[in-house]
Amino acid sequence: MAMTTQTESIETREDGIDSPTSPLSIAAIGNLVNAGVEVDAVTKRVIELAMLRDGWLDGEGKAPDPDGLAWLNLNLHVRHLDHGLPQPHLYPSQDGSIGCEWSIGHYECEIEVDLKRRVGNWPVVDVTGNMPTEERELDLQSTASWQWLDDRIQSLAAA
Amino acid sequence: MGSLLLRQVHPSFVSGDVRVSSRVFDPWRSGEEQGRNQRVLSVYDGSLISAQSAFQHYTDELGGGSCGVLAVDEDECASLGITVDRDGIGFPEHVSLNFGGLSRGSINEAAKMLLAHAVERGWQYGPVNIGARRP
Repeated sequence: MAMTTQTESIETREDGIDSPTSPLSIAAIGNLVNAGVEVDAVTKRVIELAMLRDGWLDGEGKAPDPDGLAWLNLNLHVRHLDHGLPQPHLYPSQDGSIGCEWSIGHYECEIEVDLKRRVGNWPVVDVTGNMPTEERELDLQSTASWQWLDDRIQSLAAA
Repeated sequence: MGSLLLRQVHPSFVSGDVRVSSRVFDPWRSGEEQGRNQRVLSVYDGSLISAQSAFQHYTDELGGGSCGVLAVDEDECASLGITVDRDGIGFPEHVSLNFGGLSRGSINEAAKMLLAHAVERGWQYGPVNIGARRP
């Protein structure tokens, strides 16, 4: 049985920042998975990351915020994966942020997502050393930032 | 090429059963050291200990989380501005990779380059029971 854990719509808030409508909580998604509902690899990984507790990294490491994970899962689907773009690999960081990484040919791409501030740091490294490393901070509450990200990944894939 | 420097891979830094994150080689994000020493990464000297023995030492004796061992060499570190210090802190095979002179952005870049070298070289031990070893 397949399911949709996300909503397709994007609302514009009073402050002018575009935002997808509220995501299902991680607990709700987990309950559906436990009931046998199928989810994609990104959502499975998000559920795994939500199980981390403080001290997950050999006594260090802050647990990722569950609401932030649900928000990230929703946005990755509505603003990225639903556009046919490649799935990122998700990893925790010591400070509770989440890295979304893509290997595209010889480019190693990443958004390091601050789940509280909902901003992302974008570095892309050409491991052949032929292209200088680029960095950019993205406001991930903005549709324009996600569009920029999608366009950049598509252009690197085409390079 | 110098001797291999063996790095333990925390299971949370492996996605699925295959892809490893550059966090494995990033001292800012792999959490081994704090404060002033945060830019130092611990590895084992591969000329003194095998990858399997290093894994067993790290998991069984030190109680650390690892699902396997990747490796880089001294020349790869030197080319990225990373100092290799065979300091023997805690145990004779301990080596510190010092990123001290690099900016945060350069450290991120160096970590991705080191991972590319390590992945090309292949797992020196493992990966072992990744899912079961995740916290």
